[in-house]
Amino acid sequence: LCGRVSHLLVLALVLMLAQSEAAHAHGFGQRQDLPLPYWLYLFGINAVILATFVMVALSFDRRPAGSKYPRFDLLSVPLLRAVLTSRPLAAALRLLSGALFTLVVLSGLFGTQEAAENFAPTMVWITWWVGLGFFTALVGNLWPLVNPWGVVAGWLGAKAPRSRPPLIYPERLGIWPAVALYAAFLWIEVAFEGSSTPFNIAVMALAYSALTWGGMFLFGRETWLRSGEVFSVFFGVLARFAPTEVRVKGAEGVNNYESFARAKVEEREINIRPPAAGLAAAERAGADWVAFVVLLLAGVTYDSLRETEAGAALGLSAPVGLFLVFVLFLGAYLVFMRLSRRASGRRVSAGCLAGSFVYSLVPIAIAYQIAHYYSYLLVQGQGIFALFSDPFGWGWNLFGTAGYRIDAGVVDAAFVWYSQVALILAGHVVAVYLAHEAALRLFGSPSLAARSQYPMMVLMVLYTVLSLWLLSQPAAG
Amino acid sequence: VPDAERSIVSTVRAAVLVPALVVALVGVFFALRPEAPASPPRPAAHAFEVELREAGMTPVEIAVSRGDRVTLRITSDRPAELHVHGYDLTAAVRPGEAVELEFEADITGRFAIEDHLAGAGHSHAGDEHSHDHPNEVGELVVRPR
Repeated sequence: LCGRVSHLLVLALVLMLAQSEAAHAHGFGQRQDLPLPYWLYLFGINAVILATFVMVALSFDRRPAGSKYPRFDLLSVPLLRAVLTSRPLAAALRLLSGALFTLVVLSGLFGTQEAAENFAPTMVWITWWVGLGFFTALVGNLWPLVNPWGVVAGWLGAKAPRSRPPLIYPERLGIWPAVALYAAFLWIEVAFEGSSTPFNIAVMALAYSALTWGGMFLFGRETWLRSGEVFSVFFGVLARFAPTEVRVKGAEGVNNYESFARAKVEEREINIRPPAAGLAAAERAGADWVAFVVLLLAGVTYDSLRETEAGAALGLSAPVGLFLVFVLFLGAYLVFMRLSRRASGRRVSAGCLAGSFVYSLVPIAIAYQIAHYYSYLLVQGQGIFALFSDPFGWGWNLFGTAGYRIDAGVVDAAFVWYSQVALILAGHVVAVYLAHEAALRLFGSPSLAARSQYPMMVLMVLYTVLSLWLLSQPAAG
Repeated sequence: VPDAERSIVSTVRAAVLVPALVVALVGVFFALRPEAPASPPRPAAHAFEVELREAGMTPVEIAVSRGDRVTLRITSDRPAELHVHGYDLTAAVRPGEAVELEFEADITGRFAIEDHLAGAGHSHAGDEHSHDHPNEVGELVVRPR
């Protein structure tokens, strides 16, 4: 099977190379944001530093809140319970997800290769990748419910139950397969010229399906979803930020989607919780999770760095640039963890600190991603309305919306500026709070925790100022 | 009881510091915000002579403020189809003839201007997010007022 998968991948690569001549991102849409005015950029920096100082002052006598946080079970409300536990609704969402996936593949293979007139690029790159990412971080994680690969494998597994998968997943591999796949995905997103060509998207979706089902076949569905299915891992990280969670009554830990799915209906909870609580409650991360989160941060940063004049002037080819930003971020993080170790009296190793604090960086990445992309989602994302009526670009008009034109006036550039600075500031404040929470849990003593946080706060201010700087840079022509 | 005392102290500290932070941020905001707006106070009419030549479009950037009345008088040395994104305006241009494109700049932002008939000769590294258009010849920038 491995041989077959690698054959498919080679075939896919050959097909893509053959296609990339024809690849052209004609009119697929562009971010229309104007760079932050210089004074607003300065205000952002001042605000970040002031807010950080105030948080330091407030943190002196804080006690660890522990992994307990207020929860409100939505299933305790009869009406919500009826909706949220409704089997037809879950089935409909799964069916929709499967239909959309099939449509992406079919329109990519057989539809027009004009990116803007084909369903696949807008569905995959805007509606799903950006849109579902925002939804996961701001509302909650639907992916474990609708993940087409997971759904199909679960359905096949129920039809033909097997006692156990042929291979045992080596535990020490952790989520490294997902880290590698995420790096590959980022490369495709930011560097691969043919990434918006419908045909390539279809081929990549098929190749990834083969890989995912192969992994599930070899190691078992749940194991692969946890460690190799990169989008489950990615949306899982975003979901730790979300204000909702699924939980089995009395269970510890976050993101327990599998036990939730197995639990009896009476034992399930769907809770409202404070945003980012899932990041605060996080267990200590291993090296694989540290790499994943740093890659998340590096990916969003590099993606916009290369769009700026300054980034273009560096003249780095995309794979090298992405790799350098990742190495730089990882290096900076580890250096600051050493400083943090020194500041807190060398009681714990730098590696342990790195694992304890890494989830607190996630809000910075999420805030930046939203600030950078929300106007793009609101404007270019409108394209999906027309594409639903004519997914192949063949002049159909299934739902009467094929003539829908994008209204670029839905977002005002000045409003975008102010909201971007507010978002970045909010992400920073949450990140500093989470890191301090993690430090309190690790050290117990408030004064040690506070001291361990000084290097971390400098690092976070640097990341945040970098985010603001990127937003203030003129786009490369 | 030290714990209760401590919690009172920290509550008082938060009650002082958080409003102080808000006041300071508002102060910094208004101190940094320029007195004179970057754009002239009233919308105006602007006419641009836009030339499409071998090398591209001159001027390469058309910058106006929201509400301005914009006229583009376009000439070209080749048949061209100029398309302004966002505003979704198109002008077919033939060599030796001037074509006018007139519109009110009521949408703020940065919008690509493309020549649909140009070959993808000077293609940038195109991809799904920057959407560098292979046919992009210039930009329309509409600043907020």
